[in-house]
Amino acid sequence: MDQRLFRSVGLLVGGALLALGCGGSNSTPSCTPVSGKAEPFPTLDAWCQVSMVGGDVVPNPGVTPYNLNTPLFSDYAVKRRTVWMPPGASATYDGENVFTFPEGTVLTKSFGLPDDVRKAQPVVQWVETRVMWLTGGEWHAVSYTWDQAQTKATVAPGGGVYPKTIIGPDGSTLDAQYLVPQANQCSQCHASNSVTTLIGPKARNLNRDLTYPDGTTENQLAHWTRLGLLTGAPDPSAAPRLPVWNDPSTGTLDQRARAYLESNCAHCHSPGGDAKNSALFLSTFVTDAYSYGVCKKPVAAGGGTGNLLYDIVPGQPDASIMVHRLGSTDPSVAMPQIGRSVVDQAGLQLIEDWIASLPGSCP
Amino acid sequence: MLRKLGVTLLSGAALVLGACSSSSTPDLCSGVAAPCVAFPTGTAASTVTAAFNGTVAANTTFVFGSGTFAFDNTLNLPLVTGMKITGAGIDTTTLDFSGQTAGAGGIHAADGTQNITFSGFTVKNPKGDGIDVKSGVGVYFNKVKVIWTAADNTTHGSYALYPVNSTNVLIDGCVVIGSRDAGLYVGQSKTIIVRNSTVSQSVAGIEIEASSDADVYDNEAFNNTGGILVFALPGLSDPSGNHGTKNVRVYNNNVHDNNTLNFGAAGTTVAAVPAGSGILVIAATNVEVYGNNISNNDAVAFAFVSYCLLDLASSPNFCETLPNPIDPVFNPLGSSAWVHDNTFSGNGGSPHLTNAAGQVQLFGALLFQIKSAFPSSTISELLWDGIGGPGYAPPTGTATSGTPPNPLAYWQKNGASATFGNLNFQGGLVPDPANPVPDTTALRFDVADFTWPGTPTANPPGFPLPAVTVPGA
Repeated sequence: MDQRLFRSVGLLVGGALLALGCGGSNSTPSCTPVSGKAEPFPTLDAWCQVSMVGGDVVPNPGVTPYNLNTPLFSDYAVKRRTVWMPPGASATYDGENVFTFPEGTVLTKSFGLPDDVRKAQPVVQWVETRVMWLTGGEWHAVSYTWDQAQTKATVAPGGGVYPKTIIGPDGSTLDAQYLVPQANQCSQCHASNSVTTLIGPKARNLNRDLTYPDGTTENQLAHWTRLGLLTGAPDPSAAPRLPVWNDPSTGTLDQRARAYLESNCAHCHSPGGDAKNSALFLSTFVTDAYSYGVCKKPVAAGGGTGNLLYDIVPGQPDASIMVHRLGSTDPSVAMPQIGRSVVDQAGLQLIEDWIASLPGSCP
Repeated sequence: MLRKLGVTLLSGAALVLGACSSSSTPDLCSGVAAPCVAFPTGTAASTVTAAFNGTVAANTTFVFGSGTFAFDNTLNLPLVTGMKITGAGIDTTTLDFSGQTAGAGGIHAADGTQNITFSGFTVKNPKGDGIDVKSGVGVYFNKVKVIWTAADNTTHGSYALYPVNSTNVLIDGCVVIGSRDAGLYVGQSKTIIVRNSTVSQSVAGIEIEASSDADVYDNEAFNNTGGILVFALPGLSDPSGNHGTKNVRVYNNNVHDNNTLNFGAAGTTVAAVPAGSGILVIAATNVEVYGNNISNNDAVAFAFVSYCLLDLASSPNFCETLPNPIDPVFNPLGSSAWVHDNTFSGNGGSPHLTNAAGQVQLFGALLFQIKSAFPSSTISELLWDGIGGPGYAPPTGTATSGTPPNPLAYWQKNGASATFGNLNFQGGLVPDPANPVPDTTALRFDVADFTWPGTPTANPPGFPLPAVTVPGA
């Protein structure tokens, strides 16, 4: 059932161009990671950043994997993230914003859809690997979609919709319509004031331990610093840290809910983002409750209000537009607007619990 | 700088690049300045999508042939200057989003797009909005139609054309049918023309919101809930302080039969618009309304009211504490409206108590109540809520002549007579939520319904409006 055709609108690419770098894609390659040029390589192999090994997308030698404390929800996709910088180059630490990365940096993020969210080791169908690279001082982005055999990923600037049946956390069957974004759709999330930017690699979201392929566990900020990938970082204990949204040991309900909203919403809902016209701002740095939705009337929601009056009604999740939109799969209602076709049940529950805990009432 | 994505297009015959031509189909790029990309009749949506996501040179024209092009995802445009997206004609080329499963809206321009033109096609049944342009500079919609066709209009999308946070916007010769919010909407923008366009079966026909320097003329708005709205709203983010709506002219429009029961979603601004509204100006400054034909709108031909009236459902009302801490900059009171030389007929005869869902709608119910109190007359053609600025002393009598009653607003007419009504809402505005139909005594509103007898004493000098300059317009 997982094998329905991927309705790709990728471009035809000449076969002669495929012979760059890597050899067989089921073994660790002997190639060397490379920076990108203005035009993306036609295949993922050519970057030599990651390889498909044993049904998983793993970093090639010299490429560093990373995870985030609170990631974006993407239809329950399993994600693999990597960063690579040209030899000798390093990123500059920033306590609030995304790090400043050096020319030539390449990041990848691979998305695989599990058959059953409840399984510890689900069968994962890898759908796409997105690559963002910095060249000429500008970030570029494109997606590579994996073939059915999971052996090759080919550039797909036109994106596509990938239907997939997933067993959800409550055992229900979910019919995901996973979206591989059009290249132009990348900027809907990845642009701030019309400049393409990264979203995830911020100090607070990277400040966590990771077990690396060699079996060692280390804080990511310390690891990057030790490898020379990052300069200027304080000791991790002195760096900001975003809670893990679903781990109560990492933060209060309020902190975890705000972290979830930041990671899932603030790329658009910020003063330079695609949803700036809404004046609803959801980064964790926003302290004004009205600005993050409490008793705020919608500005541009149209039918997305669900006949509700305010983004957040304290104590009343069911009366809050935010809950309505996070719980919808109608494309004209659902938030985020792209990249989510099924409901994040646990994330929705977190926001419901948080709103239920808020004091006060609205006019 | 802009993201530049280069992918060499190697896909095939359906794409006609530059001056090349296909022998079997008409050359859609003939006579079009290069670079030009053609999508002949029958081109697959995937090919169209790939072209927009490939290398796109500045000033590229994309030409669709006739017929229907069906999309399952929003068509996202690249951040490229000077693009033109054109069809074979407003009723000849249709981009059909009826089967859309991903993305919100039909066409989504990249944030910050400059000098973009949409021309000569229809967008059908998009989920969400028709065409969004955010932070655009030079935005031109020419003979574009957006239509929703489902019988249940509560399933329709919200805004048909949605330029927001933009500068230099021209909407010309466009058609909208069935928006569940505002059909032709321009919001948080500056330097705007909306003309020669027709909107029907929408909640709001044309809406100028939180914007400045706008001309709205030679349009037809009919069979909507409200014909033309000029609004300001609190709680917006524009750092330039452009919360208010100012310097707007609405003239020579035909605004008639806007009696569709309000089917907007509760919680939206337009959900407060009474069915049967011709032209509503709310909390705006420097608005000139003239030369319009306003006819057969059941609730009110023209109303100039404060945001307080739009916020009737809130308790406390936004206006009870001013400046309101939510948005201390926002002035909920309008000023300097100059209304003259309009033609009125058949308006204000039967305001509606409820919206399409059968719910009492306070603003409409207020008009309903007034009409009930004066069964032999109609709602005044020019209606003011009577809420003035700080220090404003309400008029003591009901008959006023000569000097307009509100020092902040000029009410004048030249030529044909019109009736003027002052709701005299200077205090005690908020109705009891448990009794949403306003009680006239408790509310202390006093309908001064009379014919304005005076001769204009001093016309406001008006205000200069900069010309809208849009390339190709």
